[in-house]
Amino acid sequence: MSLVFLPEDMNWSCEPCGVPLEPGKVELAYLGQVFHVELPVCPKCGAAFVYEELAQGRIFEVEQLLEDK
Amino acid sequence: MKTSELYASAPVRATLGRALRPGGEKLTRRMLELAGPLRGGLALDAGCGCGTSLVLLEEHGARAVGLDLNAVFLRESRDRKLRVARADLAELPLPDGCLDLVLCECAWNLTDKEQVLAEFLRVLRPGGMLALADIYARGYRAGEWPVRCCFAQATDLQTVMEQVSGAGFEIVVVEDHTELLKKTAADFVFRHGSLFGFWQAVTGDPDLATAACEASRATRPGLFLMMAHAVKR
Amino acid sequence: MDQKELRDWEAKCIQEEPPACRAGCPLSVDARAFALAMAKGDMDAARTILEKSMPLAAITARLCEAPCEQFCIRKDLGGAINLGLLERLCIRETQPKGKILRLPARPKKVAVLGSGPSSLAVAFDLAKKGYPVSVYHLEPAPGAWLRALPDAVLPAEILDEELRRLTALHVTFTAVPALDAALIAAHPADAVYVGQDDTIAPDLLAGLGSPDTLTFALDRPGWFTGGMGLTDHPYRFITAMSHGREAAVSMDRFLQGASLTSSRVALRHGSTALFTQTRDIAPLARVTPADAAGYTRPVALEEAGRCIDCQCLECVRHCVYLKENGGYPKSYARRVFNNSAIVQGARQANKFINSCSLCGQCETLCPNDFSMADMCLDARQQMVREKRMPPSAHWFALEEMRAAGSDQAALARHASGMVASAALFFPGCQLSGIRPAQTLRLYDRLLELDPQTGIWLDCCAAPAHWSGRAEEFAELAKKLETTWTDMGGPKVVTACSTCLKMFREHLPQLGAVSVWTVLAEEPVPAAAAHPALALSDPCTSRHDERTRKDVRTLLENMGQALAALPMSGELTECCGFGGLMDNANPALARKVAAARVAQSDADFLTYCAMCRDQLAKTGKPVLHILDLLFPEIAHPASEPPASISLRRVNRRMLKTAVLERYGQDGMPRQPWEDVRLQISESVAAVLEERRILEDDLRQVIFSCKENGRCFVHGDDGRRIASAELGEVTFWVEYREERDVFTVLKAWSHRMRIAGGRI
Repeated sequence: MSLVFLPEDMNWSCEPCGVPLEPGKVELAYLGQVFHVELPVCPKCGAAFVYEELAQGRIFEVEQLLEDK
Repeated sequence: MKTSELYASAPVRATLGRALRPGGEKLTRRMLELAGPLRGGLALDAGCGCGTSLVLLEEHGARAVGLDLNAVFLRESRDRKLRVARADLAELPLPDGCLDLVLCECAWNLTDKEQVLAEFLRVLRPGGMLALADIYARGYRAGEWPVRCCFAQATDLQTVMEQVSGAGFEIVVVEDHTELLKKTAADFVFRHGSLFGFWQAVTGDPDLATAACEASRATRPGLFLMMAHAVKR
Repeated sequence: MDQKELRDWEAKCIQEEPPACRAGCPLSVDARAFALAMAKGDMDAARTILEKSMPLAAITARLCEAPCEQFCIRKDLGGAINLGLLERLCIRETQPKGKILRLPARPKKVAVLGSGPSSLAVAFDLAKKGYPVSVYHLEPAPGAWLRALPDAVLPAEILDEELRRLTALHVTFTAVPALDAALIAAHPADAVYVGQDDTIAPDLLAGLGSPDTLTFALDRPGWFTGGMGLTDHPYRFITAMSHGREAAVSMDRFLQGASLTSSRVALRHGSTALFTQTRDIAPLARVTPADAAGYTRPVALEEAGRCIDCQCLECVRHCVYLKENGGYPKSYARRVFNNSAIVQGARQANKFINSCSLCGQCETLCPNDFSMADMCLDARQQMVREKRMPPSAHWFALEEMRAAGSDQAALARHASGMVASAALFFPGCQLSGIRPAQTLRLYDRLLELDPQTGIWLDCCAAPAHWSGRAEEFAELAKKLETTWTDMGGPKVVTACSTCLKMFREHLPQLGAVSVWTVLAEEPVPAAAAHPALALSDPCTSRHDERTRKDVRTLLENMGQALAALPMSGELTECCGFGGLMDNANPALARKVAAARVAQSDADFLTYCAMCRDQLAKTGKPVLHILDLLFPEIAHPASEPPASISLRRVNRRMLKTAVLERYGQDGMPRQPWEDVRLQISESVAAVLEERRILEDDLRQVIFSCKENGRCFVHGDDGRRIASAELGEVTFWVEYREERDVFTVLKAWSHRMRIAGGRI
């Protein structure tokens, strides 16, 4: 059950590898819980892009939830 | 107030899949592990939904039957050739002392809790086991839940224990599995954007969604499992 | 927190203790709620309150002699609330509310001899519980002396109506020629009540004996009596009712085979632990009715309006945090207890526990010294021990503490040219971060007074203590002690009340004193003319009378007038920084600061760096005492708080400036320090809100330059870089132009990318 998160502007490339980012499978982990999602990823080196909207939105809410704040 | 049943709604089923409850099979398997071998004993899944746990009960060696009020779920279970019937847990169509195990997962909070416990006690043989799992309230919340769901009647764990022992059971184990509930909630948040987004998808109403969001924050739901022996008075 | 600790905490908070009126009512009627309902004109609600506690309310409310009035707090402030007459009006003007519910029938029979008020009360209470009650009364009709009352006091139809209600509860009334021993022999019952407020035959009376004063039980099992000796009693009626009620409780327990006395609450006779602050309540004279007929509605409203609504809530009244959460300490104790449910696995963190500023004001206000601070700090320590503290709750403050104690910012030196110190100046990390130049100037002043004054830059580790990290705090305290010992163990002079409190409580050997105490002993130049300022004592100075006094002496010597600020000195309020409130709950901290500055129209003055900046966040002009002491390097009162990034830089600068005095180079610059950033005001505001330091961004960009990893935009060459710095991953979007990095966006998250790479 993968959740796909892509920013509106996908026009980003990985500098060292010289290729554009593509949707790719990533594991996000916090406090022992693991989530399988799809994020923009460099197809060559696997570097993943956690864009601002995702970080400040869903990721923050999930962190708070898991922390039990 | 719109009363939509949480577990039957589209977004919940999409996330939880067949299991229809937080923790899914993990929780059921843990309870069966604690129950010990069932050796052909008769087990009831009270609030059986689509029958997933019936399959697990049979795998565990029991003869399993299931009861539920929801006709749609029951139809699905019958399609899978499982032994189910439509009944209200507050009035079990079963003779006294006929069961070795009652499994009740995330259904108790939706019922007349004290009456259902009395029924469970009645239909279990002396020494028979109650395996109860449900939501409890870790926080403090006064007032009404706008969405009819298992959160609405959740009490703190102390009260749950008092109710169960007060009904004539001897509690053997209590375990907290709130992490499983949090995982479900986190999955919801990832899928729907925010807890508010989830509630909005469920209720279809932003005001109800806000109220539900606040209610869940204040109630701080947890997930418990409890194993108890029926003690005849 | 375990059950016993919960009980101990709950016992301290008296908010749920009954008000004096209720405590003085033999039937425990909620007279306060009754008066408040009458004051609102809601007589139906008022009647419901009476019916909740009174047997046969229609009779009782007409005849009750109102002993509650003796205890009413208003009695010394204009006269007790005229509860008696208010009851009479209420009962006259309203209808009985709802059905009386009877519990399912019980098989035990009850015989009641006599039909005076005490007997009727027994009949009422036991019938409601499902017992079949037989009342034996003298001819012609039940009611005893009540029937002889004038109609104006108790109309016959009301008495009969109430008797009919008793009949509806399956009470049987049997007229008999005499209430004697033969009667009972002829009609045996499982429990017997002899109502001596009716005429009991001498042969029966003789054999009774005296009842137990608490239970009204007689020696003979199953026999109870009440209503004796009341004929000339000033509270004849209500005392009889009370006897009946208490006897009924005993009879019910007896019939169930339960103990008559276990867990039985005795009548209070007015005694209560509830404390009500009456200092600011103006006396208001009792409003008397126009004539003997009693109150009319509008006059009654006025009289009931005098009710003080006795509550304690002393602490809640003054604390934004307590008010915010809609409860009071007793209910909060239960909340904290519930959160530490004794179950395998989760004891969960709670924003509520982390939001308390630990300032101690509630303890000072509470007649019983209930301390939310103690309770919350205990809870935090437990959460940390059990690894349930949410990592992000105090993360930023702890990072700041560690940075202030690191090589980059910490040092301890004897005065330049000296090899020993008689005193060691400890300004504290916040003053150093917010006012580095003033800190140095203050040090220079101390050097003037004693050339053997060393300087010690560090953090007192308060954040570790406040966040419940007892182990980490103990380690840091040990390190501080070692440094101090290495410096020869001189007297420590602090510029911060929090450091002072930490040292006094956890490192008393340091012999810490406040710098204001040192300066107060010396002459001081007159301050620049400022209009009167409201002096806000930091919350950590609450129990430090000496320092508070010395600060005032210093200000007086400087000629600085002070404006009145009610919650001052021992009652002072936290600015929102304390207990890491601002860290765990910034929204609440803002509210707290706003409420504080609203307490005076004057500009504020403080002697704590944290207070200065926290209060200044509200836009209110706030001065630090150093602005008055050293006017040539004063900061404007309207200056906004120092940014989090600036504080870090300032501490490094301060250390460098101090080292220069020793002819030493400053700390070597870390390579990323030289990354040049350009940040617009709007971006700076975002960084501040998200608690992202410029240093963090420098480190991210620096690491990106080192390892060459970043993302580039296809069209406009914008770059994105990220790095994991400790628990947090930081991201920055920027443009690079000739060695200057213009920051466009910055964000962070704690979630890790498992197995992947950034």
